[in-house]
Amino acid sequence: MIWRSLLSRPLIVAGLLILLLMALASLFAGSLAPFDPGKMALMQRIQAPGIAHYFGTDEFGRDVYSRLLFAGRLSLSVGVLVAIVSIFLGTVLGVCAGYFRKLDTPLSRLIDALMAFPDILLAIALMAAFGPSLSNVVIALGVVYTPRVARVVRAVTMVQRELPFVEASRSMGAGPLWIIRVHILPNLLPPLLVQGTFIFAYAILAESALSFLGVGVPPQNPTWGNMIATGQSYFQRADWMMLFPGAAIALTVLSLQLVGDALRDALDPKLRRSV
Amino acid sequence: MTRFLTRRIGSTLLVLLLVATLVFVITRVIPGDPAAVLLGSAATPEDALRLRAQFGLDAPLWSQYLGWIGQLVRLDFGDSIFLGQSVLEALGSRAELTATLTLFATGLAVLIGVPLGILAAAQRKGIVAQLASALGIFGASVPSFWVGLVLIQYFSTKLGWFPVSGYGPPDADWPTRLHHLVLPAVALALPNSALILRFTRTSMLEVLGEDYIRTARAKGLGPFTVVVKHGFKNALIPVLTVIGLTLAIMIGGAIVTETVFGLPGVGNLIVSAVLRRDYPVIQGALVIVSALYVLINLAIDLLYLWVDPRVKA
Repeated sequence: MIWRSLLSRPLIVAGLLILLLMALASLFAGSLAPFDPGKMALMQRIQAPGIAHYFGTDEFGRDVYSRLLFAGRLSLSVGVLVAIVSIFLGTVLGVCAGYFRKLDTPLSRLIDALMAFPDILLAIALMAAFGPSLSNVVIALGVVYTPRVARVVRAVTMVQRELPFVEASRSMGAGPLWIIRVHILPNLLPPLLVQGTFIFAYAILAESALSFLGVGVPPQNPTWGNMIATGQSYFQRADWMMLFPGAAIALTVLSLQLVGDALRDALDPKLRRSV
Repeated sequence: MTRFLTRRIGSTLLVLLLVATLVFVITRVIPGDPAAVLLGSAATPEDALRLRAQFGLDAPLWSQYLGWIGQLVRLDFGDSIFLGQSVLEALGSRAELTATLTLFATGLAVLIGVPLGILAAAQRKGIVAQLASALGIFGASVPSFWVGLVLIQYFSTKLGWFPVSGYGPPDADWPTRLHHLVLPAVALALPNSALILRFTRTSMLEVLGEDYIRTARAKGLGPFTVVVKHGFKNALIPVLTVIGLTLAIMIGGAIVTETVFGLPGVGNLIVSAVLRRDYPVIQGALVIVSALYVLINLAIDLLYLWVDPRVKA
């Protein structure tokens, strides 16, 4: 039912195909990449895209296409992991706030306070405290997107807990943990899937911004973000160093947003207004 | 109405206190001793102790916390470690640029997003509407710093229409200043105009389905009057919310944009503070920027009272 409504729209199909392609390309980067992404060849520095190097070479003569494939691995992993971390934390916070009335006010104000920091500023501050590394980027961005998830989860939980079947279950002696597990969590899945898709997209953008500012993933591990960051110093001579990773980000994020929009429409038309 | 106001202002104060607490937690409790980071690996333990005492880091946590809140109440954010200025002076001297940039970009985003959003809703099936919706998703998918770099590449380096970076000489006049800000504002406005466009479209679609719109059409009013006067006026509340939200997002976006364009604003100050571990500046900036965000939200809520009298009840 969901699949049919998704697959009837050409743009969504295109989005899904691009995502599949990106995922496969990153998964099989090892066999797809024509060159070792870290291998320097000083004789072949800064060569324009051509037959030998599809997307040209960088300032150390490394093959941009191969680096792009391996960078995709990290950028996509960051996106997925951030979505998982923030969905986990956000669900815990949101269910507690929505289900237990006494916790609602303090937790909701905490969510408000976390939302008061502009995303990128909070991420930068956390990275300043943690120090730049791949896992710290995941933790920092996971925390940044937690309140968004928590807000949605809280709203859905508050509606669910008042429904007659939950009330019936409660009057038959079911405890809160049982009700949350059996009645609330399954109903959270559709909105969480939608939120997860969007957070995946935002996290890829945010990672690239953090790496660009020099507080993200250190350049020894290429991500699309830090490839742009290195590319910018050479962009007058070698704009391909910057254009290709940027296009990879734009394509991926665009596809994710298309799919996210479609999922939202397909799963719950009422949710359309909440994001 | 007074009750609404008191409750709203009360919860704003609570959120501000929590913000201050979170900033304290981020900068003090999380592993990584600022003194050790500042001194580097060559420091002796005595140096570290002296520095910790200088910043009051040797006091127990609760007294550091109370001191921090006390400082904030007096609007005292301490001194920068590197700049030889108080945090407030450092932020204040750079605020004008960031405020101009943010307002410029918000204005652009509204000018692009609102009309296109209205158009996209009014002629749902038309080609303009489709293009506008596509722009709405595309604009939110490109990293804004990348857009900035590409804009510099083509409009500054190749065509020479705009300066590559900076904010001109210190005594530059307003037109020169604005000229320096055109490309940064465009880069900053693009993702946000997409957001405004999408919200305007959704809100308009909802309103245009109402009975009174059919009535307005039935009594023979022209399409412009129906869509803009009857429709947009009632679709305004969510649009106002998102414009406020945009203003707040832009403060964050300005951090990245100012770095791309080498503009000496608040964002640039924050980034260099983070790279140099200038903790007082990071703390102060976090508190002030998020307080600004909370106050913008309060202002939007108060605007509701004015736009929609039903909220007063």
